[in-house]
Amino acid sequence: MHWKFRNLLDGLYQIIDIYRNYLVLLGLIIVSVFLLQANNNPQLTYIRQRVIFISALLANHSGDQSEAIESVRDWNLLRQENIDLAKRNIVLEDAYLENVKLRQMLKFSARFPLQTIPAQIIFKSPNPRFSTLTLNKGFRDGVRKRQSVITDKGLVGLIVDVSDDYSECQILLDQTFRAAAKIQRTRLNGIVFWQGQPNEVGFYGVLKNLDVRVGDVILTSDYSEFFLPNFCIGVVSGINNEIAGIFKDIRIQTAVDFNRLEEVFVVTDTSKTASSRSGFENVFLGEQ
Amino acid sequence: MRRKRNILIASISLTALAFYFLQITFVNTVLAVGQNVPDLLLILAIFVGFRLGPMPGSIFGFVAGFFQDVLTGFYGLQSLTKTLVGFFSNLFINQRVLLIEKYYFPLIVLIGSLLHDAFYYWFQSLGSKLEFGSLFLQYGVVNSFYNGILAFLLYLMTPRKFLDFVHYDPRHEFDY
Repeated sequence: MHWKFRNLLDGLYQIIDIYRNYLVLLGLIIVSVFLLQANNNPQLTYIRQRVIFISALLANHSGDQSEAIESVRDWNLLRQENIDLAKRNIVLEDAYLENVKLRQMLKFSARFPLQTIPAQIIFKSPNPRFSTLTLNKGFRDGVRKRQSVITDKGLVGLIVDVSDDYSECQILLDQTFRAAAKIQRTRLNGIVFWQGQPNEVGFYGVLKNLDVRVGDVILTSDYSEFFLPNFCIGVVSGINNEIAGIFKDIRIQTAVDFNRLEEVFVVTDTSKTASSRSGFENVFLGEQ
Repeated sequence: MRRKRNILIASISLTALAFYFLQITFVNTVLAVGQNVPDLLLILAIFVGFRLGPMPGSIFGFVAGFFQDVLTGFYGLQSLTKTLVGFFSNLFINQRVLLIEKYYFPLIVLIGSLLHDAFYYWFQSLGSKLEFGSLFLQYGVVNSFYNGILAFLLYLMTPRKFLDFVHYDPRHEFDY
């Protein structure tokens, strides 16, 4: 009995040894697929819908047609119904989430004092080095270079290229992005730039002896060459005084979640009058 | 054998680390032509798979891809594509072509990059208004040729000693 078990184990080891390359490949593919599953973006939603659709089709044609056992038929019917409901549920959930988002944007658009054009993101640059978004609005719709791009939460970026029907927006999370900004509470000025972290930017130029607190709101400054003043950039999430030099190391959590961005507004109004009025600073915080 | 294996893993890891930092600093800015950028880690994954065998190639491809996924926030996609490319690049190994490897290797990189980018951009186009064809032609094909050219230059710059050290011998495959 003992030697039989040993032989079985030896055989198993031999099989693993022969096919180890393929086993490793299979393992890595499974891990990659699990990682892919963890994402929640349009591509994965599309695949999930397809999988459910195909399994529904298969279930439709592979159901046990035998009427000998009543319970089996009932079980198939219930399974079919369950698949149909799952399909409907996915569609309805998508529609519900979109509805909530669009309602929020509509409310924001109504209370926002500047002229805007709503635009949809049709392409996010797959290259991490060029953080740009392609929008479905262009010159014909009134989009011009150097116009600001926002959401109801705050600043997204700047229009850097315009064709007749499309435009390209450089976002905050780009190596070459810079913007003059200020702290809402203390009015201290500095420069916002990307440090390579997702949904996080740095704020440079505040002396170590000056007052900055975690939670302070950062807005675009009146000194900004490209942006209108008082657009919300984000909130101070970390301060470090233990670095060389005379300035603090300040990190800002961006107001906009760039991972979930789908619709934006292009601000076509370039007059600084409206955005300089009192109360405008809180328009992104929903306090107006 | 074990010592050589450890040195090999350390040298490949250090090279990968250097390539990773080069990619996010120098390559993405200086070597960018419009939006087309070569992929150093893909070239290295193909090299590792080609020279050391399918298992090291796929493991290296997975790790390198994962680090690139961290940058893009789209976990799993680059890991999967680079794993497959790292694994299958070894199919091209042939003792006779090692004599003309400096011309042969860039060709493998070109083919590997085309397959990698085809899968990558096909996945990107799922469920969106993007057309796979135009996306692949605009980015995939151009990037693949760029990778091929860069692979040739990198091969010429690589010290002969290192190339001899990272050498795949199917008769004495490393016991990984």
